[in-house]
Amino acid sequence: MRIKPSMLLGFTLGTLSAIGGFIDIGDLVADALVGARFGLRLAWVTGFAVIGIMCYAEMSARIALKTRRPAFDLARSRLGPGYALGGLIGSFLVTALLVMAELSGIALALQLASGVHYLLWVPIAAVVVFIVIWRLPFEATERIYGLLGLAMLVFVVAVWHLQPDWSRLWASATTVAPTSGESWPAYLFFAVTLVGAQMTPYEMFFFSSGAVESRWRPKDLVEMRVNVIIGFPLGGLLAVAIQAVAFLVFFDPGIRVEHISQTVLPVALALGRVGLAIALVGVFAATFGATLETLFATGYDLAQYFGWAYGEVQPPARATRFTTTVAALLLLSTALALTTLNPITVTIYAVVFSSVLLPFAFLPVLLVGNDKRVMGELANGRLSNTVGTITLLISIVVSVAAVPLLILTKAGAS
Amino acid sequence: MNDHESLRFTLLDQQLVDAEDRPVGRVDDVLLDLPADGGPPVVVAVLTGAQALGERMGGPAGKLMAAVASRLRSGEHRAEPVAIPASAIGDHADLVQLTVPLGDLPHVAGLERWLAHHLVEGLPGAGDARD
Amino acid sequence: MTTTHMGAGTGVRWVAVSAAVFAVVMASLWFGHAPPRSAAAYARQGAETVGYLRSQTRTARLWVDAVASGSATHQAASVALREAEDDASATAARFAGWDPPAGSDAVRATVTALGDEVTRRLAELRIAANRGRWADLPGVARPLPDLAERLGAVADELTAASRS
Repeated sequence: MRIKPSMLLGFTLGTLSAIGGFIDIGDLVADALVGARFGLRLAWVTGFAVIGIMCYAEMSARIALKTRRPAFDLARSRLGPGYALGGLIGSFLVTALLVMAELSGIALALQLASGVHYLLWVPIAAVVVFIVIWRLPFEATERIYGLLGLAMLVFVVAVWHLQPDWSRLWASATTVAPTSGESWPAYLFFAVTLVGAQMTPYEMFFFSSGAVESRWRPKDLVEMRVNVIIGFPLGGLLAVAIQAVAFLVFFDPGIRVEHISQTVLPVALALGRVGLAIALVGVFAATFGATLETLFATGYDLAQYFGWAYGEVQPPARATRFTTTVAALLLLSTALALTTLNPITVTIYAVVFSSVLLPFAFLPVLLVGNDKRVMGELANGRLSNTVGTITLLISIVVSVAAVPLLILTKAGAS
Repeated sequence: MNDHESLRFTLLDQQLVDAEDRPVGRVDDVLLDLPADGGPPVVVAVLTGAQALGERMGGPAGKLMAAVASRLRSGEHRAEPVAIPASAIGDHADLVQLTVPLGDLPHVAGLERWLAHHLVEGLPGAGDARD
Repeated sequence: MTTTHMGAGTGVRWVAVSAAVFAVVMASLWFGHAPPRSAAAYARQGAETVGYLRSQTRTARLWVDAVASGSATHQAASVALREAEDDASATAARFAGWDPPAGSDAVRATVTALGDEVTRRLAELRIAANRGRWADLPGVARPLPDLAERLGAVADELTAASRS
């Protein structure tokens, strides 16, 4: 195979968006919270989440390459309109919460940079998001925030600058048990939270709908796989780095993380103002990108369910129902953010409910990926099926346990 | 592919596109004619839209969906789900392709047009719905 | 096309399912928001409250250090100091809002006094920061480590009391 320069560019840019896309408000909140309370004792959850989301992102993109139709599109013809409608309503509600949280995340990053209260930034962020949806082309926007999202790598650098005791980090990462003073239910609750924050179905739908919109073909399989294989583990590395810096700075003094300002504080302590500024750019890019992705994923879900025209590559007037839905969801989320509901609390609830919906999102993808009649020679191999099935089974356990754990631990308070 | 296929995989719930490849909707239900003389059933029309889907699904959620979709439509035929005659159906390998452009089916995708005329087209940079 | 008619059986099932869901939601809300009724539960909440107050005190202290060493911007620090103060006053007010069970008045007095002290100290920091007196900040923050130590000791005492 000959490798052309344009292909290499495609690799890098796609990989960057996978890294940037992995981290969103859920990670920024949950990783710091978990690092401060449990050190790296939940890092294994991130490892599992990365493998699971890699498997399903690859599978759904492969389905999209082969059938030129995104994964959710096939859920309805495969599992019937009733099942798909349940998934649609559930994901719509969760995404409304998530968009509110991501939008607040943009505003909180701007607040930390400017000192101006975040509520004033919320409408401004919403207007900018709307203009981007209305005017800017899909790939360009994806790549801009993917590239800016690389600023998050400052968290990895910060781990070194904090001069950690590496053996202590390792010991923490290899222990599967709550830290002293913490209960098993709380430990498991935060395991569920991390799964919800890191295995986000919208990433999968977005990845596959993007593959359709960019008119990828089976020959793009290699590029897609490289993006998955490099991008998601690097995203996972970032997540673990956020856990690690929170562990190093907050664990011993017993500090509980309640704000995004605390997520970036360790970077400031390690790398100074420049580090802080880079971290804030990263937070901004990650939440901005995730706002667009969650909005579009919901628009795609709805449009594909009813067979409407959709997409970023269409001008708004060619896909009016899609555009109107996305705009309405943005408006609803903005209104929700302006109620001064604590965005951190909303994030926790959103990722927990998102983990409840995981198996509903995974099942149709696994079924279609396995169908030789649809997929031909691109059907799942043994690896995809094994990892996919194990991930599905674990996600069912997570889904069933999530809400009882939420209630039992009072959302992790005790 | 062999000659015998389940309706569920070939027609029902499939994506409908018009003659210019524009998405029209899903095949939400299928109208069959069962000849009185006992001949084989014949597809008369495909139904599309949330009204047809809601009536097909039934139950409280389906009834609600059908009622809302019916309310959103205008014209004298709004009690009936949107039907596309079988004569307009062309190739149906991956997608169900119609032989006519969406413009020739004025009763289909009414909400899409309504939004285009009343909301989206008036805004700058929306593009043209008809090109 | 099919039309489903809801039979009497279906209707009863719907009511039963709705009632069960409603009961579970109410029970969960009660579980999540019921005030502590026993002395042990009250002491446990006191320990939790004091633990949060210590966390907020130490967070503020870290930001002051970060500004003093030039690691953090004034904008970020002033935002973070206000957040710490807001959190502390919310934490303290939540605990103060619960009626102490019989024999727990002393616990309430200790915890609310600490809540007032933390809130006052953090407010001083916030005011100094907003007036631009950044050079004075380390001086204003000087009592914080001691305060955090005391909070830790009280939290340990209350935890022990809640277990006995």
